[in-house]
Amino acid sequence: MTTETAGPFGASDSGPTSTGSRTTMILGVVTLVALGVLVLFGLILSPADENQGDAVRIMYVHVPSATLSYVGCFLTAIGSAVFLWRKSRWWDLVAYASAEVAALFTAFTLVTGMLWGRPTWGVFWVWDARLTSEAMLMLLLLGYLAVRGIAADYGVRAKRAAIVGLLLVPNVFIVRQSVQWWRTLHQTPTLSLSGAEIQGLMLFSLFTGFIAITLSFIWMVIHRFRVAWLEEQVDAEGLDTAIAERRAEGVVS
Amino acid sequence: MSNSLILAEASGTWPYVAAAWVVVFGGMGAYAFATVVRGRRLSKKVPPEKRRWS
Repeated sequence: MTTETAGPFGASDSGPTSTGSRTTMILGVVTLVALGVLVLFGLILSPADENQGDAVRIMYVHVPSATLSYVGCFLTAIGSAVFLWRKSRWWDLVAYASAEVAALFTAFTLVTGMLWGRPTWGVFWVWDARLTSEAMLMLLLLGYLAVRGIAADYGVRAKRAAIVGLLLVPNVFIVRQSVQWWRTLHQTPTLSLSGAEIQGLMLFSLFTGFIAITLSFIWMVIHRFRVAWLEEQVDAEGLDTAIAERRAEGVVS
Repeated sequence: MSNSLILAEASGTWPYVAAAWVVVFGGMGAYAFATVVRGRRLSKKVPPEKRRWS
């Protein structure tokens, strides 16, 4: 949210007092409307499936969450690659922000998948190729975030994280192809280049899910990027203050 | 399928559906809230010229 009132830095402080801006506010409103439409179609208007019954409604949040987790991993890998190539802090923060949001969506994918598995397969979890590779992806994302949290020089930490970030892409490819390469309990993709296995309101509800959750993902990545950027500024400010204090001590002594 | 069987099946599936949607919507809401709060707290520590988003 942007405000014109005086901020903590005096009367001249007319900058935004949060990570929000006019653009993200509009995006936020559109996202909320899209999420409302998703609830309407996903839970009320779309029909139950002939075989799965109402359990199919989990698909409208599960499949978009999974897809967005892959998108987040790709964005992290792109940010990591550009950081390693050009030492761009901006891209490093893009990688960081998208990795955190990707981890969130991977967690959604795993939990909603388990909740879908129980009524359709009879179990919450099986160690089949899709579920195991998805769990590995979650561990890799947590590993990336753990590397980001290590107390080390910025360049060293960012470089190590970027290398882990690049490893996300082959893992996503394995997750995606796992249902083709191995015999698994998990079904093959509902949507593919050759067509869709669902039609009508069910297909529309799934597309609504993609739109609503993609908008949510974009909103979250933008805000998380800005938080990371602010953290950088605060850290840099603290470092500058510490150096100035040490220099002052040196002058006194 | 008799009405009682349909009801039994529906009541057996809906808790999983509801839980999945609550996880996703609740998780997104909680993450968005936490991110905005962090952003507001950090914004107070950063000079205005370094936090202009638009």
